[in-house]
Amino acid sequence: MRISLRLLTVWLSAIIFPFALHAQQITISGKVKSAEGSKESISAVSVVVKGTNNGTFTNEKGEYKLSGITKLPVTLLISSVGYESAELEVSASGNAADIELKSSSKLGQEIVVSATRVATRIMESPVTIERVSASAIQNAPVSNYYEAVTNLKGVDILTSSLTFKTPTTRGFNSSGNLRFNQLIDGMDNQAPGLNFSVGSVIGLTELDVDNMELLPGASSALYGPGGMNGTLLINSKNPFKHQGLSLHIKQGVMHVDNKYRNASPYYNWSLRWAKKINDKAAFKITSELVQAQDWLAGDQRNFLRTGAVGRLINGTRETDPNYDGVNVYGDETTIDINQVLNGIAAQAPFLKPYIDGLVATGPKNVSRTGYNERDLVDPNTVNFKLGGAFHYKITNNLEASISGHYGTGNTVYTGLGRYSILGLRMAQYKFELNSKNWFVRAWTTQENSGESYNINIATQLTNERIKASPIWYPEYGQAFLGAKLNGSNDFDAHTLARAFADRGRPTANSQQFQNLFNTVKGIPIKGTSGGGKFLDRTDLYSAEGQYNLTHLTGKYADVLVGGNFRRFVLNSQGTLFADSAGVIGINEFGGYVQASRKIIDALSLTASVRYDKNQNFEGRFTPRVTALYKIKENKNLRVSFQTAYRFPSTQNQWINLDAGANVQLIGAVKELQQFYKFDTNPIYSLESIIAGAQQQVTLPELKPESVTSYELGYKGLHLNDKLMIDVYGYYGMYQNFIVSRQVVQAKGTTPLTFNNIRDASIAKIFSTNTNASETVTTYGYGVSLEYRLPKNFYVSGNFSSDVLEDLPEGFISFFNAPKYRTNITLGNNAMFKKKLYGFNVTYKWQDELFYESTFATGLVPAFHTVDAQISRRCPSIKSIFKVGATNLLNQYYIQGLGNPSIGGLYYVSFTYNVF
Amino acid sequence: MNKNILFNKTGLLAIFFSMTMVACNKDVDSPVPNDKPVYPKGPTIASIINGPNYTILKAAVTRAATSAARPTVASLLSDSSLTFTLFAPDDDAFLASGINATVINVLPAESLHNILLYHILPQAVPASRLAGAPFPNLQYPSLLNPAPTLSSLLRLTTFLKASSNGAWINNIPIVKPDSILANGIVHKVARVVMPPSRSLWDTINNGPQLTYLKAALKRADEGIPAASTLQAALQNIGLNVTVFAPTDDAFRTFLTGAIAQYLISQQVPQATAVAQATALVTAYGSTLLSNPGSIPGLGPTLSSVITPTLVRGIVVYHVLSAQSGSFAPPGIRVFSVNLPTAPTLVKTLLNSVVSVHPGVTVSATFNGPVVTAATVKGAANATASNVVFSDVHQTNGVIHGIDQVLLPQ
Repeated sequence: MRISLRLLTVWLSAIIFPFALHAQQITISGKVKSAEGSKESISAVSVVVKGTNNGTFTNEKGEYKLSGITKLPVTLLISSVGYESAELEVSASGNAADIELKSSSKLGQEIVVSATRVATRIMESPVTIERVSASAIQNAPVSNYYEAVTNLKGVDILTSSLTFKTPTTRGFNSSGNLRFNQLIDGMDNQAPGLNFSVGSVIGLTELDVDNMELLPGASSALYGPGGMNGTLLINSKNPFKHQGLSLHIKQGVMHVDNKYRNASPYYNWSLRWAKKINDKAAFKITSELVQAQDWLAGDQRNFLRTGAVGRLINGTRETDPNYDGVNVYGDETTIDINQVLNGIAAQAPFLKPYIDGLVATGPKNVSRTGYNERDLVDPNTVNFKLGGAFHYKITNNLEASISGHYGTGNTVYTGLGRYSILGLRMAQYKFELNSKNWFVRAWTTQENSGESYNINIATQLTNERIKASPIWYPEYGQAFLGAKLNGSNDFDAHTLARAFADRGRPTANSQQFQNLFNTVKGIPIKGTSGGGKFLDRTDLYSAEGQYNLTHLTGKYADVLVGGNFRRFVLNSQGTLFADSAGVIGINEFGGYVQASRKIIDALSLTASVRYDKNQNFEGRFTPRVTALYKIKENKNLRVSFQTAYRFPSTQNQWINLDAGANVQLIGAVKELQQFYKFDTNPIYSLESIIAGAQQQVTLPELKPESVTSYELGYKGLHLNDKLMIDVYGYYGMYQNFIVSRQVVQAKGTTPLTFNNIRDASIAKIFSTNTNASETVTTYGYGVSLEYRLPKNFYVSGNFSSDVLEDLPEGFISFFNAPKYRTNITLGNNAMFKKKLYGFNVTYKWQDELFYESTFATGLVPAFHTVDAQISRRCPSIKSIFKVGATNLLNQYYIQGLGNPSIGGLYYVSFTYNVF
Repeated sequence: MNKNILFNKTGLLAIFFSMTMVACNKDVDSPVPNDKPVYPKGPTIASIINGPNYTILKAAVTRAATSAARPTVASLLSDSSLTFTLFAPDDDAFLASGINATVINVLPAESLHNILLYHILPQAVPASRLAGAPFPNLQYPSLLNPAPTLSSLLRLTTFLKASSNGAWINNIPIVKPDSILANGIVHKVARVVMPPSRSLWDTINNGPQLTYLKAALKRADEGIPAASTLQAALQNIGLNVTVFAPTDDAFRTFLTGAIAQYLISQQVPQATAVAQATALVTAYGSTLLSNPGSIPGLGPTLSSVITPTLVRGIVVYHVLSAQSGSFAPPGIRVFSVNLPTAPTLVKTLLNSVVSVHPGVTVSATFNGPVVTAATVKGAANATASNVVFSDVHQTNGVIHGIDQVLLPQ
């Protein structure tokens, strides 16, 4: 122990004071400019002394200063994305070592890291990867950088609010997508309790995004459980490299046709300030504010809830007594008023024969009268982000950093219900040590759901306060019977009965309703006696590290090892999880090793394997093998076999939530099932009850879900390197697919029927999770072309397809991917004589898709969008002015049923000092 | 350079144009309403009233409209959004019921309104639905609410039945069924269908021929909490039963026979016994039933023989209730026209105590839709009792007078 402590001290002093005793040092300084047009200075250009690790970046004025040089002459390597790299020989220290860089529009020059966790040229990535650079974001006609991802092939995005966008690849899209990881500077940004990725809420600010790398397909071999369908890695700008004060002001207008809301402004302001204090230390502060009137989910269609998902049916509030509007809430409460009628018959025997006749005509399901989403949810969506980081270079090769991201705001999320995320506060803090060959990082996600509430539950319970169902339904039933006894037909009798039971019902905008609703939504969820508010304070703690052993093993193979540990601390005080007695901890750990080797000159093989263990589930190995075959320079064929899996989410494990309509959502851990006495009081499958013959079931132990996928791809430069072609095809097989399953438990001896199970005195419906026994297979392909035209024009397009195959009858997969989608972009970043003008037009189309979710299910029509922007650079004030629009033609469309209709957003923006 | 600018502009224009052409999205559809009911067109039931044979009915409807009751019968029958069955008495039927236009004009408008409402069912009931109805009949609520202040859901019910002998509402024959109108069906009836207005107890309490039955009820209820007495039951509007009410003569015969038999069993010679019994019945009448203990000299003896239990057993044997033999709803209300032509056993209230008891045997003789004779026989009676008056309809049941006391054993 003593020895190892001493060793540690030696090691620490070695890395912290390595150059302390260096003698005479020479400093070189200079400026980097563009060789073209107005010869503007270029910032964030890498300047490295050839053959050493000694390097720096130009600041916002294009200036650099490089010290620590011991002897002259030296050769400087000068490089920057979008420019041709150059070398500059410096033989005297006194003169300014200035250089001009020629701009380059060469394709395929980008470096990606995430494909193998080792920097690789994008052309030589052994798996499909897409990269979005900061300049691509700058040029894309998007209102928010997350949208830039949608222009990539094979990407679907679900917008459940202006500020809540969830991207995914390879299908299975939903706003709480559990099969697609989002990592921000290495941190998983899934809210540990609410189980949705909060990237667009607390992620990076637009000005701080350095690049986004998208790995479609199974990727948990390197990134751990969760990346079943893909991983999006978003990396921020290092304050050493990108310095100075930057500002981005975007002012827009939405709802221009007053269709869903009145025309209203859109604000998006962001700021980034980074400063290199000296060669060792740098910091940055970032902030962003978005404020707008949100898109509105205003689907008034009638939804029939049956089983795991329901379906759209005809009918309106006026023409269906059991109407349950998709975006109308409170009307989920339903009972068969034959119950009430039978009760009257028991008290009034002279009416019994008549009532028996009425009852015999069939069930009369009646729903409470609901309220529209537009009247319930505050349309004001706000998102405020604040972030900061401090970086310290302990040596040229070792950089320490601490960073924090904080985000708060209002948004709307679609899960089992619609959730108003109000005053959500999320924070992520990280400490990281980064060396040439290794890194370690520890980070935590701190979640605080603020005033967030479940809109469906809050509205149902508000209805109960306006008039409790045990009063409302008898009133309805009596008025219905009264109308029938006066000669009315059923339709008119229902209308009269509703008017009677609803007499004095406050309108949505009345003070009375607002007071009640505000009270209920502020009371924590606790079944029928509580309200709609979540008290989620779930936290996640994570530590991980990686070591690249290549410098030791390079002779045989490039080897990488890594590992991580995660601890979830569920804390919802019983409002989401079964944690009313205290917090619940869940531990996970995992490790991976990857080896790659060039077999022959043209063929490289990479193999990796990862092992993960969650305390509630058996451990899993996930292997991956990839091969890259170089047909010619810049023409590469890639083949991969990948596996991925995910542990059931924290909600899959421990949720315990009254979802209204007599449905209790419960996690799949044994403790919860025992609490609800599944072992002693039998449960029956909902399907069997619907079919009319209740069948007892037992729920097998929940297992992690896994996918195995095979992929073939080609990436190559053609036509004088002006055309980049990228093609992929994949075939994936999902096993132990985690699906929701409804079972029903009887409360007494009454036989269960589809018409009585919503009655809380007779039955309780449980919605829990189980593994599908079927294997689900998917396949798909994508192709993208990018072509550089003369005069800086570029045109690109992609086409992709995802298909779910051989779906067993009645199996609900929540696949939610269009069969085909395409993007076409035409743009230019440097037009006209001074090359100051730019434009970009993107056309997007996706096929119709049958959208399945636990909230609503139905057809999402095909849609087209046109996004466009025109920009002008003003180099003298280092600024860009831009006019743009997303959904230029203001053609409303939805991406998922029950989610908002998205219209046009028109903006002008001003950006200062963007790199 | 010029060429490039041209390329730029046309290129841009072409792209924008083509995109504008194709980009036409389908926003969320509006909900599709379900079909609203289409109210039938054509003449309504109200048009029947204007027919030549319905002048008195029309006069009644017109006069009823002068009451405060709303909606009026006329407006109801002409409302095509509602559906009714009207049992329509034509002029002959009114006259046969003893009501002519003059009578109409002296009847209180309110009463007329209620009488008319009793002829209307809030649904369409074609005659075909009555055929094959189970014994004794089908029960349909009318529009008449006997106590609107109590509950808006109260309705006096009608009792419909069809057999090979005819079709009836209560005991009134339907002479011409199934005139189909836009808002319902009209059945022509042979008489005015009078709504019941009193309870069974009222009738028994005030019936000139039913004093012994009343006395028997008093004895039967002795020692029983007020709420559970037979009298209370007979006052309850929720009851629905058929009472075979032995007339006073029937009771006298029964009492004379019973007392004489008792005396004979006490070694009194038969002639003396009969004479003594007759004298007792003549002298004390219904008191023998209501309060046997008060009879001078014989009090203790009589009250030990005519016990409340015995009397209650006999009384409940005269009440036809549900087939299960209890007061439980819906009960049965057997009009004479509902009786079967072949002698048939029907359970009585006695079955609520002695579940295996066979009940009483009932039968009726018909001439067309009219009952010419009806009988009911107790299990221990040597002969069947004749129904001497029938179909006294009350709110909670119907009473038929009979000429013998029914003996269960």
